[in-house]
Amino acid sequence: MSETISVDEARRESLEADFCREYRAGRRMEMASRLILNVTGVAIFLAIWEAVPWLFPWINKVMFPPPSQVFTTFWPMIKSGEIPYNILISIRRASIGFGIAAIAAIVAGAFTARLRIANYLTEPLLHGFRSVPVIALVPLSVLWFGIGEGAKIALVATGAFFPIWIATFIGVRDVHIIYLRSAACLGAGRLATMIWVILPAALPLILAGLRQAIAVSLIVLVAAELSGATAGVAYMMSMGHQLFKVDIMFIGLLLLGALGFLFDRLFVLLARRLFPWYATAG
Amino acid sequence: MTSPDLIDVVDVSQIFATRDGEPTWALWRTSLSVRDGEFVCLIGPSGCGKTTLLHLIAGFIRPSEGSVRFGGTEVRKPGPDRGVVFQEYALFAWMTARQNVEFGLRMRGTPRQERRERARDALARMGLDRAVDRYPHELSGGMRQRVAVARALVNQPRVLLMDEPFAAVDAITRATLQQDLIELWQQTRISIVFVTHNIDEAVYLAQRVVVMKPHPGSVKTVMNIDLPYPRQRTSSDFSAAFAALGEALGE
Repeated sequence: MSETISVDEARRESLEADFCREYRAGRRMEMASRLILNVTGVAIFLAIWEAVPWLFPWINKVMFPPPSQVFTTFWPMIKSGEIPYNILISIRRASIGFGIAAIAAIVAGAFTARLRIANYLTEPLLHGFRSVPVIALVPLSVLWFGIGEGAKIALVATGAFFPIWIATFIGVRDVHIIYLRSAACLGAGRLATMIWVILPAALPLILAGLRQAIAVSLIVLVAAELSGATAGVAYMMSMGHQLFKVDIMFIGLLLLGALGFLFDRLFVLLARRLFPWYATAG
Repeated sequence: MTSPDLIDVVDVSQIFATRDGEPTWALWRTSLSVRDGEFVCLIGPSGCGKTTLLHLIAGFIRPSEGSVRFGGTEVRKPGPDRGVVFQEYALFAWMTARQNVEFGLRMRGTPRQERRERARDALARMGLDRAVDRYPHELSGGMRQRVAVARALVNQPRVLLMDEPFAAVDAITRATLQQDLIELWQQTRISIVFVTHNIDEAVYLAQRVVVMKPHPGSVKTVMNIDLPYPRQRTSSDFSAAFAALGEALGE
């Protein structure tokens, strides 16, 4: 009798071990095939792009340079430090502007959602300004502030402010009353309720607003750099335009795409790390 | 010699506006007393004001007329001396079970070490030793309500105000939760005011059942249930009480 049990036990353990091994192998296969397919997709795209001037000889290679030619321009610009310099300048502008906007907009959103006076007082103004595309402010900004760093950072901050503000406003306004009542009957005051209860409860919406603001920041950054700058990725593109170097313009496009993608991934990763309870982040 | 009243609701009326601005009485000249250590159920159809009455005692709202006294003083706002357990979704989703239970202590500036210990004890008492570091979304409905009870109890309140706390869990879990609540009540001798719309639940739990009616919300009748704990649902006395309460509600 006891022998059958131990035999059963051994059988179960070996089945479990097999299952775990297969499960892990399956997961690894899945990850590997995903990576391979990702790379293959990019490779196919580059191959088609490279083949275009060969397949359609009437296409001007100066107007539509293939990846090999873009790369021959790209590599010396990397080595000379020109591209890294311009990238750093752009990232700096975008992140300072975004950071200022994030702090200001979350504070403003929390206040306007919790204080009726603040809300009614600013409602028409905020919604009015929100409806103006920030790009429309670029010429005015150049006229007023010239082409200094401050002007560009301010433009980015203005653009990033509104999506964060509106998301925070809605998130804080719609915090479930049961959370507020729970906090109150557990002895939390106004400030403690805001920090420990209201802002965390609104976090899913705030994160959505921040993520959208990242995209807006890049758009405004490019607009600002195109119309008055002495450095930056978009400035580099406008130089390429004036020098009739389409390959430099292509490099700019690729860099902007890569930056936007990286920032977004980084954001999702950070959100998952910082807020493990928010399982659906990403 | 009766023990003094812990809660005294005297001639309370509560008016509010419906969506189209019509004034409606959620409660009309309602009175209720709860003694120290007593288990009272409020029962009635929706719109009878039972939750409003509970919220008045909790201090979430102030009465339009009349007075609500707790421990001899007028209730003005919520406080940790009156623990509240809601129906569901009241646990802070961004805090683990332990952090939820620690919240009230943290608000009162209890030192970290003591906070930890008391939270662990409160969770252990509810049979949640292994759920301490889990987030609410990782817990079953029944476990969540146990955490909610622990979160209220850890502040050592004088009364537990429970607003249909077991309405959203399955029948088997509910029976276990009711049984454990009675045990807890007998150990701590805390007062409990328990809102329900379930006749069986009221007869199983309460020493006194306050039957309420709507339009306007008010007390219809009060029924004492003098059965020993733990109560046997299969006993004939239980069936008789069940039938009597059903009749009182149905009239």
